[in-house]
Amino acid sequence: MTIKEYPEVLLVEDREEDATLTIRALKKYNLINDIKWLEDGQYALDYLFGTGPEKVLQAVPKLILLDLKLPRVNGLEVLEQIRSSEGLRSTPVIMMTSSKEDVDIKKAYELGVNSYIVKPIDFANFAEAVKQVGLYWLMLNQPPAPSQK
Amino acid sequence: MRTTESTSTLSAHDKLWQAGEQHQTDNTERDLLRVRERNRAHILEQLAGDIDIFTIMHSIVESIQEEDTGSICTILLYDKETNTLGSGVGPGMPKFYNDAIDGISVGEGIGSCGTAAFSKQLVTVDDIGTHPYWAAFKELAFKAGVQSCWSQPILSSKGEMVGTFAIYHREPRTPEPVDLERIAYGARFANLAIENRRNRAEILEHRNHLEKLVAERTEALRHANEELEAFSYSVSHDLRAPLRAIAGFSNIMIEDYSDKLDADGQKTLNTIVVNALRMGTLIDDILSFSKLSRAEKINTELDMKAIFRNVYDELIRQEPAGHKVVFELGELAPSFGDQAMIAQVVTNFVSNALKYSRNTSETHIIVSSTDNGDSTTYSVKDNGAGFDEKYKNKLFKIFSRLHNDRDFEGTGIGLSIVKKVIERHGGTVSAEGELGKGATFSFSLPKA
Repeated sequence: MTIKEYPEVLLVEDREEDATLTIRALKKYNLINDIKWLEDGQYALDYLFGTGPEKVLQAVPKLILLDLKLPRVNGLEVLEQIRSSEGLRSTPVIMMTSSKEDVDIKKAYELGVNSYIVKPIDFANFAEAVKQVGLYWLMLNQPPAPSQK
Repeated sequence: MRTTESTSTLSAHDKLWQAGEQHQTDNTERDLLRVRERNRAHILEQLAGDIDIFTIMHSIVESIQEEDTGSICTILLYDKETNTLGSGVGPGMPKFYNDAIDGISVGEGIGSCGTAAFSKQLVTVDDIGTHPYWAAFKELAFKAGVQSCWSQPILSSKGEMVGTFAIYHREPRTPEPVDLERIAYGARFANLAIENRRNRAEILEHRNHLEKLVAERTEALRHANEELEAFSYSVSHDLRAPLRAIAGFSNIMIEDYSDKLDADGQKTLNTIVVNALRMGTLIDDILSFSKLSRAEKINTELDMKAIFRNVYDELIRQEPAGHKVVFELGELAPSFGDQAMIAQVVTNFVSNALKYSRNTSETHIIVSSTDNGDSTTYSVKDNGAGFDEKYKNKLFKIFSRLHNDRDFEGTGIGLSIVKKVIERHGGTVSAEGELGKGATFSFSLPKA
């Protein structure tokens, strides 16, 4: 199977407003060229595992930004499937959510999330948070070499 | 029925029997009393334990049979609904006899027991063969080998019919005074046992009912809690998202269209942003308030001075640079409670002291503790805006504020959180103030 190494960032977010704000912040700091936005957990799974109508070969983004509360398949379920997949196991996944609930944070870490970020309401803080995430995971962080399977 | 008899009991009975003709000696009387005391102690012990009423009635019947050797005793229970007697004990009677009288009607002339239950009076039939009450049951009695039957109604302490206590003999017999005393005693004792067991059953039923009620309420409470949890979850998630959009898109407007917006337009957008952020703070405060009552309280030793010091150091870093503050931290007595919750209280008090004294040229905050014997009071005194004592009762109420948001921003939740935390710790909160001259806020914590 050919591995599609793009997009750079996969954003799974059901709220268009939040997606717009996130993409805007990432672009503002010139952190990305290429981002794919999907609106729910099932689309994300179809896209990542090549099971959807798009018939994309397995996509391995450099970074996955995942909302928690999503229609059909929620963020934690998507995370679980990513972590049990050979090709995606080491892909950084960042939870970006409105939920400050301890149970959600605990569960996300148990499932192997790389970071858990509560989206600030204030746009300046929100943009700063997205910038930090982008800077760290796309610039600073050194991922393992892509598997040649 | 008893199969062995001690000889001493036999002789006691014989002597007692003679007492009707001769003079009763002290000795036989003492022997009989000893038997009765021994049996009574045994039955009372059974009553104190978990023994069922039929076993206990059995013991009572046997104890009377032991006193009156050769007698056969029975207890029948009264059924009010059907007005019959039955489901009793008669271990000395053949089964066919017990079966035959089980369920006999209560009424004048229905044997000794039916009549006794009907009249609520002792009925003594000396000779079954000739007595009209027994005309219908004569053959049955002869088959069972009995010829006399005395029956004492068992009456409850309220005088209600409970059943009958009967003593049969194998030959025609007229009761002596000692027999009358004995049958009355047997009926009284039977009533004591039956009432005790009925009360006990009633208490048990009440207890089961209460336990069921408690379980139901607990379940309802758990359900309500779950709903509250789900509610605050969706508040935290769903209410925040639109606010983020309002603030975010207003900002986009400010950033992308600044050249098209005049000062008024910019100001309008800023107002939108500021209010969205305020709403966000409000949501966070309400959530932490509701979470407080659900959070588990973990008690530890508290170094109060260290808590105040850390909180102050953290808060002073966020103060505007021009704000001059003198922080006087006295020697504070240690306390006992939940570290995180008490730190939240301290944060609230100190940040209030800082906030409400922002307009004074030099802020002076004094923290002290006083020993009240069984509790310790911790006070934070400032020289800030203070408050009018007239509105003191509103200070710790949720959403209630004494200052305008323009002067001092706030949601009106902070002090209600303080009150909730301190009350969960078994302490109290209080405040003193004078408008324009400062305020002293205090909380007390019980000593461990």
